Amino acid sequence: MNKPLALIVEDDPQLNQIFSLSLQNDFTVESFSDGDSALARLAQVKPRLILLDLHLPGAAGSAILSRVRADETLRDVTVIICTADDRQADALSEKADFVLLKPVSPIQLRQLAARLK
Amino acid sequence: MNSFISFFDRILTPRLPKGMPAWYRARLTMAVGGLTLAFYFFPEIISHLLVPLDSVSRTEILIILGGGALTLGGFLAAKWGRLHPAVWLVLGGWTLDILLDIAFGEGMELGATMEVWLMFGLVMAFLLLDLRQYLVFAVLQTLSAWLVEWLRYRSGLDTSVSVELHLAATALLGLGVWLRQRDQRQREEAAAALQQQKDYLQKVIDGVQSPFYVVDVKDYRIRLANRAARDLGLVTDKVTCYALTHRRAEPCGGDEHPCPLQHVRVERQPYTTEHIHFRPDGSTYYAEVRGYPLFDENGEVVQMVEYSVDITERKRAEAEIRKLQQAVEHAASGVAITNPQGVFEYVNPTFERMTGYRREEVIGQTPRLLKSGKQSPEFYAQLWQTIRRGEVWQGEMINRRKDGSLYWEFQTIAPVSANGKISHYVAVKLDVTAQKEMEEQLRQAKETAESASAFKSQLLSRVSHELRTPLGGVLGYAELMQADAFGALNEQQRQAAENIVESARYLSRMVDDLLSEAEISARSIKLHNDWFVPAELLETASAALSVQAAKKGLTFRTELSPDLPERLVGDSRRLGQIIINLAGNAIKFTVNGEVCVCLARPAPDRWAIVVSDTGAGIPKEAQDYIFEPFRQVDNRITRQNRGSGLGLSITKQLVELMGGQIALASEVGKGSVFTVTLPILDAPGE
Repeated sequence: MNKPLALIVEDDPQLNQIFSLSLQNDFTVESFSDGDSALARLAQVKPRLILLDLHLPGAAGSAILSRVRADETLRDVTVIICTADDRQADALSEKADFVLLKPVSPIQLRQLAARLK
Repeated sequence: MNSFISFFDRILTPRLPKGMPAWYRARLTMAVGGLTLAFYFFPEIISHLLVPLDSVSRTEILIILGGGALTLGGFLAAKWGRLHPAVWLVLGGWTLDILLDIAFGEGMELGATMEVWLMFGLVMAFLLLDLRQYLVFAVLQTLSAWLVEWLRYRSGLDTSVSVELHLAATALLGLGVWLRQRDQRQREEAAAALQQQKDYLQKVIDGVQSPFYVVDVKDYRIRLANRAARDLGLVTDKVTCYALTHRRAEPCGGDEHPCPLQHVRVERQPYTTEHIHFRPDGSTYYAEVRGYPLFDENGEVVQMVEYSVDITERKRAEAEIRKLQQAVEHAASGVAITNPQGVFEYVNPTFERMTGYRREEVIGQTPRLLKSGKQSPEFYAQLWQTIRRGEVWQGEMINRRKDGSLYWEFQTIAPVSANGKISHYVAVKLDVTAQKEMEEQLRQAKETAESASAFKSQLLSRVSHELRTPLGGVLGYAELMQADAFGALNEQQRQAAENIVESARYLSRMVDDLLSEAEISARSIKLHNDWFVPAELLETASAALSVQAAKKGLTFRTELSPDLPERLVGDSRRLGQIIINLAGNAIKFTVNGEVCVCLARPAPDRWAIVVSDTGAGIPKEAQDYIFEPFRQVDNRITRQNRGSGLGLSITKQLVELMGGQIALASEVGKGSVFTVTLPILDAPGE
């Protein structure tokens, strides 16, 4: 059985690893540490889930979110924002499906993601 | 008949009592005349009635007719020609005598001649004298006739002598009575003329509306008073000038009430002063009293004409003006009055202090003296346009003091109009330099504070970001270890991982609380008010709380009051934070029993979050400070109940930010009840 695709966009390598480990049971995980490469990949694939940090090198998380929401073909994508910036989290809570404030518990993340699979 | 009556009336009216109806006077006169004739001619009339008419002597009829014509002629002559009646009496008598002699020679009976004379005198008297005197005359004449006849009879004198005697007696009598009457009439006329003059004078002085009276130098009594003076009780000859007007028992005197009479008498010149006078009703008024001396033929002052004017209104106006003047003189604002051309006519001491110019340096100058050049010509043009239109100008401007220094003044310029034309401008100036400087300082301080605040918020946001990211690593790896993501752990390792997770969570909460506290302190927190469903708020907040409670074996209960609206306005995230803070504390400090979160509506315009527990309770002395940051009831921080110490402080500040209050009711050993009361808002807004 093919696992759905999840894109993890997080510039902190440790967190990136933790997120990947949390989701790898239920998803095929692709990791990106900058916004631009994530955007480039988004032009090619239709992931089920995007785990998105906001402060990123290259394209910002909010830009990626806007891009996803503007693209009709990506309308089924669930976007979970993981950020340490609670102000931005507040601002984007409408557009994103979920907003998790760091530190994110990998256990809870896995439970949440499993429900979306 | 009427014309006959009016003829009598015209001639006789002056002689009859006044007020008697005209027709009555005429009839009375005729009746008196008729009775008189009857009285004299009664014997003849009787004899005529007894003998036939043709036997009446032709001579007698002629005498009667002639006497009547003469009488009338004499009357008219006396009336129009102002001929002395006595002269006429003699002339008339002689003429009659001559006529009779011509007509009858010596043939006429002497008795008839005498009767003619008597009748003639009587008719004359009737026409010339007034009624009363005529009656006196008639009686006297009759008596004298009888006396003469009696004397003639007793002495046996010739009848012709008695005729002469009758004539003389009648003439004297008539003359005497007439003279007496004339004197009396002259006296009466003089008295009437005097009265007329007095009436006229009284009318003239009564026409003067202010009290006008004459005071006698001897006894201070009023000798003449006009109506206004009488109204004040100044009755002529009875009261003194000082008794009623001053309620005094003795004449005025001293500086307060100088006596005009004394001044006028001594100085022999008019005198003016001010007195307080009493009206009859006891009220008082200010009077300006003017006294004018009246001299007698020796040049002595015998009386004084006094004339007083009520000046209460003037005094009041003067006092008012003095008061205003004082107010302007001592006003804290600078006051300047200019003429319509803007030339200073008055400036007050504050103006002098404000500008550094002395009054005499300013009077005659224009406000250009103070011009700083900091305002444009348009500014002044607009100012002048406004006040010339008759409107008030108000504004701030920079002016220059005498010493050259600049200052800010807030000025109000108002035009003063008289008869529709602007007569003056009044400017009220306030030196607002200090205020301006303070405003500037405040503005700068505010800018500094705002930028500091913005910097602080940025810093906090940055720090929290920097703290949360590594915390994510710590928590994440530890939890993954617990979940055997890196291979199975032994018991010691599992315990260590658990400790790491717990410490990381604590640190995370600490970061959250510090951030909230800092945000609230920096006033950078913004409430996001929107519609929310209270039931959902309660449900969301309870999810984690019920798990925590269950772990400790506590009952966790929620209640939703039915009278709460279905939707409320508020920041649901912050409200959830408040519920979690309060209920989380309750769970933390309760060993057994229950924790209850209740949403209620204590008043129509308020709703409440009530969190109650059956925990240890909070001692009275601690209830005062537990809302302060970093204060906890028991400073012994145990593993079970450690927290940042900021939860209640944040909660309280959030509640106050929302316009609500937080109250605590607690008893040691029984539990605590925190009640957050919030206003029910109508619509989302800042």
